[in-house]
Amino acid sequence: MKKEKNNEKSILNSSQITLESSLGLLAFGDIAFTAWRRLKKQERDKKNEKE
Amino acid sequence: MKKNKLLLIGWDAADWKIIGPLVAKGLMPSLKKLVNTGVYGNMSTMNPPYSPMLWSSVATGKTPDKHGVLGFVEVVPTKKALRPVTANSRKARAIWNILHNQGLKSNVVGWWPSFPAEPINGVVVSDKFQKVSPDPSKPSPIVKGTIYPEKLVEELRDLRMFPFEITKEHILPFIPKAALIDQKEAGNGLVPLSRILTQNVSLHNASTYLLRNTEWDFMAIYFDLIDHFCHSFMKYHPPKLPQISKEKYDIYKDVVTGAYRFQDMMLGRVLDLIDDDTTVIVMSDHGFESGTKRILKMPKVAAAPALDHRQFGIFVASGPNIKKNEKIFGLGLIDVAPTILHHFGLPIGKDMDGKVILDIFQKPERPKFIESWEDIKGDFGELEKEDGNSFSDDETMEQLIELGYIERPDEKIEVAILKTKCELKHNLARVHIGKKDFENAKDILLDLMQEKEPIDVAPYYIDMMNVCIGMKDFDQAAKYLKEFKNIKSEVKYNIYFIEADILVGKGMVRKALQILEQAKNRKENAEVWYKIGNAQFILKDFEKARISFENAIEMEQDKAKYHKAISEALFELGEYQESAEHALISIELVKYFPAAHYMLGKALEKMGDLENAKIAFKTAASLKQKTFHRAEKALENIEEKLNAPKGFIDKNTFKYREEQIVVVSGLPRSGTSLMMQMLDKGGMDMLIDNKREADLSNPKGYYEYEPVMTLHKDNSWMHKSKDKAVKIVAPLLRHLDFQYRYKIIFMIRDLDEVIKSQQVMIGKNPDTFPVKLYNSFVEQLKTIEKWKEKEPGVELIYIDYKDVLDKPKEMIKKIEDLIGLPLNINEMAKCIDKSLYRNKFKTEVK
Repeated sequence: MKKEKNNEKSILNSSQITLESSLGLLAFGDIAFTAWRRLKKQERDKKNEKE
Repeated sequence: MKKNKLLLIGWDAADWKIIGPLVAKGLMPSLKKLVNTGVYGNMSTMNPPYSPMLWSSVATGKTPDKHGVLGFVEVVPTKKALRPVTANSRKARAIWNILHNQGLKSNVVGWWPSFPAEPINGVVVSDKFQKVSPDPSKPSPIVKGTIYPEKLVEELRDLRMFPFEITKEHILPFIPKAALIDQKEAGNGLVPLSRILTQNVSLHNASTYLLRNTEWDFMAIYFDLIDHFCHSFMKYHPPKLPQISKEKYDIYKDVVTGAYRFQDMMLGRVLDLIDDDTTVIVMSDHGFESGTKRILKMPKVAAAPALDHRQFGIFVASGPNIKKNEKIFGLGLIDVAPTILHHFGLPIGKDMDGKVILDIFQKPERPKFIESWEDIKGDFGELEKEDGNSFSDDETMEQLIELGYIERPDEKIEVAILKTKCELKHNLARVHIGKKDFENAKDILLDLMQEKEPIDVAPYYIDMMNVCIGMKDFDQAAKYLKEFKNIKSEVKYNIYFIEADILVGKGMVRKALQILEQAKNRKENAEVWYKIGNAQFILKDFEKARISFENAIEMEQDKAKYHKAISEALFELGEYQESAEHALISIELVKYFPAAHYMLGKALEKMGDLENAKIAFKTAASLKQKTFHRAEKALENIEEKLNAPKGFIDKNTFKYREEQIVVVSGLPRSGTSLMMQMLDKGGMDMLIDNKREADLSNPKGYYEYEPVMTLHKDNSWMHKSKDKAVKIVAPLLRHLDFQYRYKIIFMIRDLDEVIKSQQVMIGKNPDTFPVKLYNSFVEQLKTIEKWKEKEPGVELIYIDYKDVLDKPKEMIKKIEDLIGLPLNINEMAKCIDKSLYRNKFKTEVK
């Protein structure tokens, strides 16, 4: 049985993902990486809107 | 029954020397968990230690001469360009091809080389996936063949990380003082760090995606993070090297440990994504020098960075049928593929060079075999033959150039192609040398040595000289050495080892020792101490040899041959327990080392541990490619001792041995011809050619066989002497072919008489006593005494010439006991005419 579930939720549902990211986030693999990219895009979009 | 899944993770260049302290400090918790729940050990690499060759051997269980991947680059089929090595070069089926044929699913990520992706049952994310442009303005398309099946391209494309995405949070754990780096400085560490880190994150992302979203039986993931970080930053790793500035050291000293820790973090995530009953293997293909042997300035030779690679990598395995927390010895990367096939209940190809590592299993099953997986017809998910539309791969080429693995190709492409072809052929020759297949290596090297400028033929000469030494053709090696000294090469080679080896081979051991001592005084290293020890050993200065081997071991603890050498010296010094301990260390380092098992057996036998000695001799005999005759004979002896009803049977308690060879030996003029004559009359078959005619010194003939004179050069005729008697003078005995059993009748005679008789025979004054010769004979007799004890295939009795004259029947009985067959005693006795011999002696010394 896979053991990922709780750990994954706690990482992705929290505000742990920052624009600067971290090695911990990179080590978490595709889900965290995709979430980080999404966050970066959101921030870029916000910035563009403001401009 | 379907077998549980198996996950194979490759950490290129991972080394216990770095991992050990980190695990002890709790800084690599995921690997520690695997070690605690599984088995671990050193993983022995192969020569040359070039990663694409090695990882292809991991995948196929075959050496590079069979799998065809021979270097970092290959010539494209059009023969007009070069490119990084691809899966097209691999001619042998990989584990995933075999599993495909057997209906099992595999995921393969980043394997080197795996581009173009093979159409297997499962997914291949090839080693081209992570190679992206560092320039954000340049596109990095995923070219055809990068991923199989292609439908996954869209899902995986955005999992690639780019160097420009690196943030300070990614860098600081590796370089806490990154702010001190002058980013405008050429060659600053941030560029390689960003590239290596992002490439490995891309592969990790692809892996976690596949782990979460696909069904698989076997998954292989390859990371070059540790290897590439070590190539760029190991020179800054503690302890600080004197040549490194304090400023640079302070900035980069944590990068290597950072790489290992990040690799462990990624491992932790992967372990979270697999089932509890998945078997996991983490391994590396070689280690990485981290001590005083670190090279700061690479010589200008092909694949120079590989000089930093250490012989031992790592192996860890954990899973349902794997032993718990146990160290395993003697692992080789060539054994991984057979072990994985065995895990899945599949047979091993007899043409595979590796073996199943049965030691790792709690309940090992007997491996099954087939002739070859290559002969099986059917779908193996293989690539179609390349159509000649070559592609370029500038990113990968550039990276290999930056890492120093390949030179920047010449502007003239035809020169670059020629250099590459030579390099690949040279690598093939080195593979043959590694397998001790000197004949094949020699053919290739001879060919390469004919090359003209701009090819540097010096490295081929170096290997050729070593091949000749390996083949014991020391004259030829000396000839090449002479030629080598006239070759112009950009690289300066140390040739004192070769010079010393040639001299030792030619019997000029003291001269060799002199050269080695000079080299040691210029700059000592472990190998020079080892070679000095070997020379001292040959000179029978065992105490000095022991000290030299100790020095070698102090400088390099994990060289199996050093421990085997000191084991031999200690044995000669009568320190059997220590001898056994070093033989054991040697075996722990390299299990496939028959001579070390043999030494262990000898030491244990002396210690009285016959049961274990038997195991050691048995292993020695079974491991050697060609039959290990000494070990076999020793094993027979041990079995006899073990089966003896009471105590031990003396070595010299004689019986007939099938196809035994009876040797009459002794110093010249000690009565050997008489003994041959007696055996002839006694009914034995003789190996003689009568080429040397009878004369006054030996009126009944010499009973000689001419090829004996050159026994030290050629002993291939010895089979002709099976069940016969042959005369061989004492100094040549050590050149016997030890695949046979020998019964030696060693004639002894008062040395004064022997020398005087010889003086007369060669026309010199018998009253001039040659003291030097006398001492040399005394030494030879001592040597024989020790030699007979050491050689398990030898049984020997001493027969005093005088006793033959005085009590012939008693002596004949002793001879009959040795040979183990009835002899015609009366006829033998008739050969002895006391008065004749006494008169003859008087005549000789008159």
